[in-house]
Formats: sequence, structure tokens, C-alpha cells
Amino acid sequence: MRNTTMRISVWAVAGLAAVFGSSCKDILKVTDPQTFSTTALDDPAVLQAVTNGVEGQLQQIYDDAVLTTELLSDEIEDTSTWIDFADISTGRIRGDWATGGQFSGVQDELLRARFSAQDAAARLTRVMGDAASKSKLMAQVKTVEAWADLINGMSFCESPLVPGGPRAPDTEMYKQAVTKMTDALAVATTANSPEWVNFARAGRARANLLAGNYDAALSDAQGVPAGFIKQALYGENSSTSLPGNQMHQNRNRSAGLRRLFWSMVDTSQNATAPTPLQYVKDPWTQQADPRMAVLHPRGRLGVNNSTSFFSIDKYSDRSGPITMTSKREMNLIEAEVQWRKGDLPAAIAALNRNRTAAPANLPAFTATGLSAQDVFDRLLSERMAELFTEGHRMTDLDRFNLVTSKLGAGRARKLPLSRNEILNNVNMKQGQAKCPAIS
Amino acid sequence: MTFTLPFKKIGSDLSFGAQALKEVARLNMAVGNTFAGPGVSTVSAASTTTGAEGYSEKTNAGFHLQDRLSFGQALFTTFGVRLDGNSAFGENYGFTTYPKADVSWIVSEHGFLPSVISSLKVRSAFGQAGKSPGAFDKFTTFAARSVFTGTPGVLPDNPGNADLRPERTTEIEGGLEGGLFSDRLGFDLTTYWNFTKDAIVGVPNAPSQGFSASRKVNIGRVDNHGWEASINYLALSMKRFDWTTNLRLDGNHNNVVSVGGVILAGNAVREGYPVQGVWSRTATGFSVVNGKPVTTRSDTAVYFGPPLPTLNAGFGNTVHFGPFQAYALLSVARGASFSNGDRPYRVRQGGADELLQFLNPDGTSTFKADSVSQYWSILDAIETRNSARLREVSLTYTLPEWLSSKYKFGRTLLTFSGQNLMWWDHCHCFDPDMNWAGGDPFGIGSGFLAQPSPRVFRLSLRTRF
Repeated sequence: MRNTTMRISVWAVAGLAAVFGSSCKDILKVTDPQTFSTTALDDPAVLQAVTNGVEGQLQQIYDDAVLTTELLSDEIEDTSTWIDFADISTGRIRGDWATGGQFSGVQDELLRARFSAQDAAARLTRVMGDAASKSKLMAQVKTVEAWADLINGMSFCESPLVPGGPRAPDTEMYKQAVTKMTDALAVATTANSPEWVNFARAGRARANLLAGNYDAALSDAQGVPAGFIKQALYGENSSTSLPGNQMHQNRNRSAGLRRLFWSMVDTSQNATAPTPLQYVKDPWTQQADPRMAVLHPRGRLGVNNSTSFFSIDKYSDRSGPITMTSKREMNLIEAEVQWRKGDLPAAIAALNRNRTAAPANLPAFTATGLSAQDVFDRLLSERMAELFTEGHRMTDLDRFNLVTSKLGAGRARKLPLSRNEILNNVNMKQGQAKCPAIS
Repeated sequence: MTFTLPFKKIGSDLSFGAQALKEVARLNMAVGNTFAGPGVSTVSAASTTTGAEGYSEKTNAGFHLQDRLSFGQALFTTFGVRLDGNSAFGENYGFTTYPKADVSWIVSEHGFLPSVISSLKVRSAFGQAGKSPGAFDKFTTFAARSVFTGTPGVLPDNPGNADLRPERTTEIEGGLEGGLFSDRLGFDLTTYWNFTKDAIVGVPNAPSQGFSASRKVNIGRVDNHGWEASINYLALSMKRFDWTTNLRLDGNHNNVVSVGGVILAGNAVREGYPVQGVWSRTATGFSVVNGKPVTTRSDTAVYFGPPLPTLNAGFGNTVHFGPFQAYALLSVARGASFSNGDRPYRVRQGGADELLQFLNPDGTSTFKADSVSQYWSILDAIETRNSARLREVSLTYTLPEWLSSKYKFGRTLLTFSGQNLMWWDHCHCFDPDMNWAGGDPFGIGSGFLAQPSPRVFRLSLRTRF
């Protein structure tokens, strides 16, 4: 009897195991309804969302790139209690910095945006076949990829040229941006998409300027139509947009106008409540320049409770868009190239196209009697005013070799390579940084 | 099934079974902001509403087989094995097995021990257990996000890993417990080693290679070694008075043995050091530059210590005197460090005594104040969690039986107790046990904006009807 029980038990165990094993294959299948799988995205109905995601990823980090590079420049300074902000604002960061700092996340997302663009381009080709290279969707991701390289080159002294690649200097990024902008322009032209044609052409104008291809920069700048503007868009509500513009007016009172320019702000009304909008003055006329809106109610301090706080009121709230490029920037590129070519009247004429129109509405410069240095001084101040807190200033101080005279010696002239990229990229090692150059 | 095997005094208790467990978690959230005024409280009555939804699904299916053998009344042993499959395992990974075995020997059953040893049991166990990955960690996914202003977008999300396996922990434990002098002195000693292999760690991609989420991988090995000891002693035993004292000690050492050659950012998981070890940069020098105090710091972080105590001790005493019972527990913790985020933050906010004491009477800064401020603007405050704490003191009164029964109550106890009454430490903080406010439970190496543990006084009445 005992043996019979034993035998039945063993068979029961074996049978149960067999049933269990054969049914487990399906039991253990789960799906995640919150996300797309790779194959689910290979669907023509989703491709527009894929390409918008790529562009959104670039725009999402664009405001942080602006904030971080401006913090390094002479336009804004740290008024926070954050060490990472102080590290950048004082220019004490160095290559292979020991912490991720405020800057690493910015480069990380720029690099991820580039990867997303490349991944999306491969998907478009997979799903659409030959039609992909003639589509607006491809124009969108190609242009975004090129812009990601351009912003990376402007902000960081080193980057990987390809995913997982070794360190390369910013000069190589500019060259690569020119090549990619050309590629994007060709696709956008074939797709008959003026929006992406202009954005790619404006990007190539800037990339050519920074790469030293001045004639090509002039040609591209002149090819961008009047009135063109491309902005990064932000929203106040994080459920309907990616997190808002980090350069907005108050920003927890953590970074405000650098003290170099405090005396250039008319604060005579700062005891009035509410304090009316104030502006940094145009240095040539001492008039308030509407392009540089700030706000400093009397006695207002940064969150560190020690530094006077002049908020950047150009962006009134978190939903304020940031101009990525425009015809007005193209006018400045044209002015710079003409100045470099020695055609000073043409340079001044290009500057006056911005200066005499809204929103500046300032008196025109007179070209008569101006030396090359005089024109350069006007070019520099116009670049600051027109592109105020749009992420250009540190690049200008660096390429015109003005960091020491404006900010002092011993300062980083660009942001260093992301620590996250150094640590996780098998083709990079710590201790191999060749930059940033120090003033 | 229980068998009596054809051997004298040998028993066998065989058990087996199968189990399938499906866990589905759904999170539905509705948020309403800006109501017209008091009187309405539903989400739809708000002027702005948002919603969110989360979903997680995991299935575990397993089979187990175990046999417990007894050899007389003194020796017991168990052998078992468990076969598990889990929906979170990578597509390229199948089922896994977890064996276990234990043996216990009641030495005092044999009668050869000296009479002073009233009871003695020796035990040892070996077992393996697993921890499955997160529900969807294995999938390569792309997340839908709203971009620009209300436009749908899709972004790379999780890189996925088709080879993902469960973490496997092997534990070996041995110990003995017993009593001396007719169990008036009791003791319990245990030591254990556990080795976690294939620990699941999130390895970040190089940002240039996309996917913001870390890729979950099985790497390396983490070891834990620890011990526990306790002694109970009935020091005095009289008709209306007795006093019991208890001492409990435990220690643990954690060490990352290998990270499998993977380079991990930060120092949370670093070979040769405990998980979540406390690291920070240190001051390297002081100088005066342009009349301003300048402290410099090291380029790299140095190790300060483990985040959890390596030694805990508890000393408790219970005294009964007639209807009264008094109890007191003192605990000691040593060996843990943490980054006290509050200290530099208070200085940087201009509100710390160590800064304020150096300000001029009119509130303007001084060289010393600048020095303190600059020091705490570049350095973390690494503190020790070493402390002694009066955990509990209580006094209990048992109501006389005649009084309880008069009102038809059972045994009735009136207790007044105080918890967390006092502590002693060397930390520049409110409480060395503080953790990161609102942070995840692994943020044990730091504390910021934390409230001290409250002192609690409680008056309680317990009875039965």
C-alpha cells in the first residue's frame, strides 16, 4: 500500500511538472502598454511622433545649454546656493572635472538628441524606403541632428563625433555640422519644405562662420529670407510639454544679469511697486535697449541672500520661447563677414538692418569715419544685444579672445566634456582632456 | 506526504507543489488644481485637471520539492529545490533553480552534556534565493512624451537586455542556541555569509549612444558577512521581584567584490568598498588670494566609510515588582557615515550659527565669515552616524484582578512609555539617523532637510473583555 502511494505521488509530481512546464511559456508573457517596442514604432502612423520627439528632445535641452553657457559668460552670474552653478559662473571648471556638474547633463541630452535623430533616420528609411530621402520627416531629423552637433561644438570644447566615438575638438564638430547641414538642406530642398530649408541654411551659415568658412557663411546668411525665425518652444504645464524654459525671468533667483552690466541698467524706478520693466542700455546712445529686458526691484537679492538679483525678463515665464536662429542673426553674420573682408560700410549697413527695426528701434550707426576696431566694437555690442541670453555670448568671447579682458584670467573658455560620456564611453578615458583652454 | 522509512527512527516528510503568481499594479491618478472656492472637492470641479496612469505586470511560476528527514528526536535535516520562471527574465534566459539544505542537532537530547548546560542546539543552513529584475527592464522601449506645446512625440527610453537574469544570493548560516543553569542564562549566536552574484545594476549608456535609462545588467558579486549574538539573563528572581537583563549585538560588513569590468559612474558601487559607500572630496589647502580666504579641495573623492552601522548593540532591562513592570532599552550604533547636506546648506543660506558668529554687529561679512562660507560652498559635510540612544523607557501597572473582574475585564495593563527619549552623538545635525528627505530608500549615504526622529510619549490601557 505504501509503495503504491509512493508511485502515485511520483507520477503526480512528474505530471504536474510536465503540465506546468508546457503552460509556462504563455504564462510568462507580458507586454508594457506604456511604451512602444522597436517594431511597434515601424509604423507609418507613428513616424511623425518619432520625428517630433527628436526635435522636442533637442529643444528640451536647448534652454539648459543657453543657461549653462551664459553662466560661463559675462551675461549672467550665479546667485544660487549651488556649487555646480558657482563652478561654472566663476570659470573654475576644468577638463575631466571630478563631478558631473551642471554642464554634463546638457551635453548628455545634446548627444542623445543626435542619437535619436540617427535612430529615427534609420527607421524612416526602413519604413518608407526610397521615399524617406525626399520626405519632410527626414528633413526634420537630419536638420535636428546637424543642429545638435552645432550646439555641442559651441558649448563644449570636446565631443564624440559619432556615438561611442573618441574625443574630438569643437573645430571638428563645426566641420561635421557643416557637412550635416548640407545633407539636411539637400533633403529639405527635395522635400520642398521651406521650413527645414531655412533652418538648415541658417544653421550652416553659423557653422560655416564658426568653422572659418566666411564666404560660405555670407552666402548662406544672405540666402535666408527676411522674417525667418526658428524658436524652441516651452510650456508652463509639464503634462502638455517638456519642462519649461529654464532661462525664465525668476528661475528661483538662481542666476541673474552679471554685475558688469548692473550700472548699465536704469534702476531709477526700482522702488516703484510693481517695478516697471528695465533694460540694459545701448552703450552707443545710453537709451534703454528693448532687446535686453531685465528687472531689479530695489533690494532684491538672489536666493543666496547676498547677491543683487537682476532677473532676465526677456523670458517672462517658463513658457517663453527661445530663438534658436533668425534672419536677424543672419544679418549679424553678414556684418561680421563684411567686417572681416574689410567692407566696413557693408558691415554697418547689415548691423543697422537690425538696429533700426523693431524691437530695437535705435538710431542707426553712421559708417563714416569708423575704423575696423570701431566697427568690431559695434558688431560685438550688437551681437550681445540682438542675441541677448540666447546662448551665443561665450562663443563670441572665446573666438574673439575676450575672456581675459571681460572676465579675468584663469577662467575656462568653454565647458568641458561631459563626465558621463567620459566614464561610459569605452573609447574615452579620464585624464585625456586637452581643454577647455584657460584665459 | 509523510513516510516512515524502513529504518529505525528515521522519518521523512516530503512536500512538493507548484505556484504561479501574477502581480499587476495599476496607478490611476487624477489631479485638479485651482478650485472656484470651498464647497466642491471633486477633480472635475477644478479649473485645470490632469491625469496619469501607470502599469506594471509580472508573473512568476515555480515548482518546489522538499524533503525533511528526522533521525530520532535530536537530528533533523531538510533538502529542497525550487524551479522558477519569471516574466521579467530576459528572452534569452529560461528557468532557474534554487537549492537549499539545513541541518539542526539538539545536542542536549543525548544526555552527555554537563548538567550546567540545560539546553543546546547547533544549526546550519545553506540556501539560494533570487530577486527578479523590474517588470519591464528587459524590453527595449520608446516612450511617448508631449513635446513643444501639446504635440505628441516619441523618445528612446529603455535600452533593454534580452539576457537579463535574476540576482542570485547564496547564504550559508551557522549558529547555536542554548541555556545554562536551568535556562536562567540563555544565549543565541549566529554567523552568516551571503554572496550575491549577478547583481542587477543599472549601467548608463554613454549619452552619445542614446537611451536615457540605464541598461539593467547582471554584474559581479557583492558579499555580506555578519554575526548576531544575544544573551538573556534572569539576574534576580524573588517572589515579588525579578530582574531580567538582555544584551544583543550584531555586526555586518558589506563589500563589492566585483563589478564584472563595468565602469560605473559615481562611487555607489565600487570594487573593494561597500554598496553606497560614502565618498567626498576633501580640503587640500588654504590660502589668501586678493585678500579673500580660499580653501582648495581634492580633485577626486576619497572614501569615508560605509553608510550602515557595522556594529549595533542593544542593552535592555526588565524589572518586575509586584504589579509593576519597568523596562528600559539603550541602543548603540557605530561605523556608519553620511553626507550631512543640511550643514553646508545652512551656511550657504546665511543662517548657520557657525557663520553668523563671525559677522560684524551690523551684519556685514568678515574674513572669517567669508572663510566659512567659501569652505562650505565647495565641500560636503561628512559626518558619522555613531550614536547612543535611549530608545525606550516604560512603566506598566497591572490592575489587581479583583478590580478587573469587578468590571468584567480580563487582565488589564496601564502603560506609560517614552520612545527615542535622548541620544548622544558627534554629528552637526539634528539627528544622526536622518535620511534624505523624500529620497529613495537607497539614498542612505546622505541626509538633507531631514526632521529628527520625534520623542514619543504614550499612555496606553490594554485589557480584554
